[in-house]
Amino acid sequence: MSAKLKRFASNNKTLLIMLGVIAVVFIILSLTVPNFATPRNLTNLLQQIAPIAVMACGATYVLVIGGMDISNPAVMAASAVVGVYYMTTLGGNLIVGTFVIILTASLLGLINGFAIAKLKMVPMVVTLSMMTIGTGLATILSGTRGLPILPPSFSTFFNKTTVIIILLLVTIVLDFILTGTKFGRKLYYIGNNARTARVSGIDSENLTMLTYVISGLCAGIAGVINTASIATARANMGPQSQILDIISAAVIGGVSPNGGTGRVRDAVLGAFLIVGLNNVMNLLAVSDYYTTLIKGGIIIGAMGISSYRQQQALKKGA
Amino acid sequence: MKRTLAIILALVMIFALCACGQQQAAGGSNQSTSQQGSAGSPKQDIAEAPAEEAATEEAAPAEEAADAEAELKPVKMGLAMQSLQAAAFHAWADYLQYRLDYEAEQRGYKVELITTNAADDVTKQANDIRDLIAAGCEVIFCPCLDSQAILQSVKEVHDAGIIYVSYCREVSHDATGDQVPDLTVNFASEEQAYVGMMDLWEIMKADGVEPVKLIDCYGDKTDENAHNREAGLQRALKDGGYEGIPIVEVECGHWEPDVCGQNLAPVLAANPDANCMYSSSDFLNSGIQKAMEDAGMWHKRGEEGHVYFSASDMYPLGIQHLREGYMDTAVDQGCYNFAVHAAAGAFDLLEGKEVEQVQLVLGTQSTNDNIEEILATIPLWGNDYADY
Repeated sequence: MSAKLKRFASNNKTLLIMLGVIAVVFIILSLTVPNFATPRNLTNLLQQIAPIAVMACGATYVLVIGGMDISNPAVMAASAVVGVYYMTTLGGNLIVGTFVIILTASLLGLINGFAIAKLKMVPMVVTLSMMTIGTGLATILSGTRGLPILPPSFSTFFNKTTVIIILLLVTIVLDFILTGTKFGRKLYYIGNNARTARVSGIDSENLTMLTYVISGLCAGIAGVINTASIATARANMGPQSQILDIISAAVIGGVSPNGGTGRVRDAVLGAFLIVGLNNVMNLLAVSDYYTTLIKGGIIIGAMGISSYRQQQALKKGA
Repeated sequence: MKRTLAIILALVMIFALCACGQQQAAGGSNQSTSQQGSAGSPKQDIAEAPAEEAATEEAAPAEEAADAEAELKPVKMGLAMQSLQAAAFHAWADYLQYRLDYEAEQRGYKVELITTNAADDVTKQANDIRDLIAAGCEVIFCPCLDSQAILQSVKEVHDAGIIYVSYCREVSHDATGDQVPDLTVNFASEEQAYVGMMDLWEIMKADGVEPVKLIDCYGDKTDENAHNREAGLQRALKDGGYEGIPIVEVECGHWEPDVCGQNLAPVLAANPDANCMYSSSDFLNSGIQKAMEDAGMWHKRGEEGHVYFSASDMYPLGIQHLREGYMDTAVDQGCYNFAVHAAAGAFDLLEGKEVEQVQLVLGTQSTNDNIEEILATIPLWGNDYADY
């Protein structure tokens, strides 16, 4: 039994550390911050975490293969605007509109993937361009006075409970695919050594393209959640600075920016820390300036740990 | 080693959170009085009241003061700022804190104001408002980032039984039922533009210049204040008898000076005959100045080729341009008066009193001719934040 536990602990170090940190922080905050451990605030917190966490899931796939997708927030906003445009201006059905959001984001992800995998373009340049395209598309479709408000049934359906269920489902499914399937294992091979993976017969091009589609898909799901949050969509619902939250959530969760390591569930826990910080700071009435300062500090700390881990792994390998 | 590092990271986080919380608590007990005397409007005179209170406090023994403090009713309020990028936004937040403290003292409350910053992210503003609800705020003030997207938040605030004050911005006129704020305190933004433009016509008439073509820098197409100012401009054109003059519109993003400047440059190149201009806010002046300089159209009043220019708000740069003669007329935001009305209205609502649901504030009217006199007599907000 103890051997099993040891093996579990050894295989899930990051998870245990993350859970430990979250548990300690949660207990301290529950005891010291008024209104923190209330059902309203905790469900608020989960609702706020959901879009970032879902996008961090997508980012994990891209990071695992050693790629980079900085277009997520813009893709999220653009797809949400396209969906809301369909649902309001074009008078489309709300259910179809939800799928329009997800499909649009996936399509934008596919364009990213095609450019990177097939045309061998640099991921940073491609996704940076997609960020501009997404923002432009959202701005054009939003029109001069913004898109109208959706019928209340949209936000009623995608309420806090639904959003939390979506977050759980996305986490479980994507974590399983990445760690429990052949497809997922191939992604780790690509991330560890793309050339060797290719030589071994792994279809790197198509798999790389697929990871960007998954990243886009996740941005689309986040778009649905955010649309329900404000009952409409705007170009400025995905500020460029949000990409820092997404990538750092993944990195804090142990996903290496250099590829080859990391899990979806740990990235989601990373999002708890990053987004939770905003919530706690608001409850504590701490100035926004301190929040950004502390967040920056945590991100640098996490990057430092990630870099240290990598160096240690290299030493062991040598 | 890895474990140690992880523990250190967790401790740093926890200590940072605790340290910041304590710092804020200490700051919260020192009520800000730095704005005292900076009324921002000639109609406002609040300098006497705090002076009287200070004298009373000195006379009262320390124990009595402590007892009095204990008797104060605690009330928590929230301010969900849309951004803190501009000087005026700081003025809105600072003045509100001051006036809430002032009102609280008058009415026997001890107020705690939690201020959040959405940093121009419409989703974050909705989340910030949810945090403020969860924090137990009884009143939430909000200058909305998007007049339509905020409607869902107003409804959520009302569903939680909390008072919503639309502060310095209006929600969309499409609002119905629970989406309608309990109180709106805003610029008389239509009047701001109207008065400024009517003054501009007077100045042009005095200088013997007839408006030929007008350039209109439209601040933000998702902000009701920009729309209201547009309506004021149209009314001034009609009342001034200039309905027929061509108007060239320049879009300025979301109150973005650089976007305004970039979009203005080709407009100036295509319309060198334009001899008058209105800008929804002189916050955009840095972009406007650059574009006009590049086009060779940035001249002071009295110089050949001067473009007669009116704008709203009176930001520090706007005041400077008024003094130098590049701008001819402007109407101040009256930031302090927003805070005066919003704070009084919020406490009235809290106490179950009826308030006028929409309160519009018109700031000080200035022209290039009287700006020095105004600066000598009226403490404008733009002067308080001149060093920002």
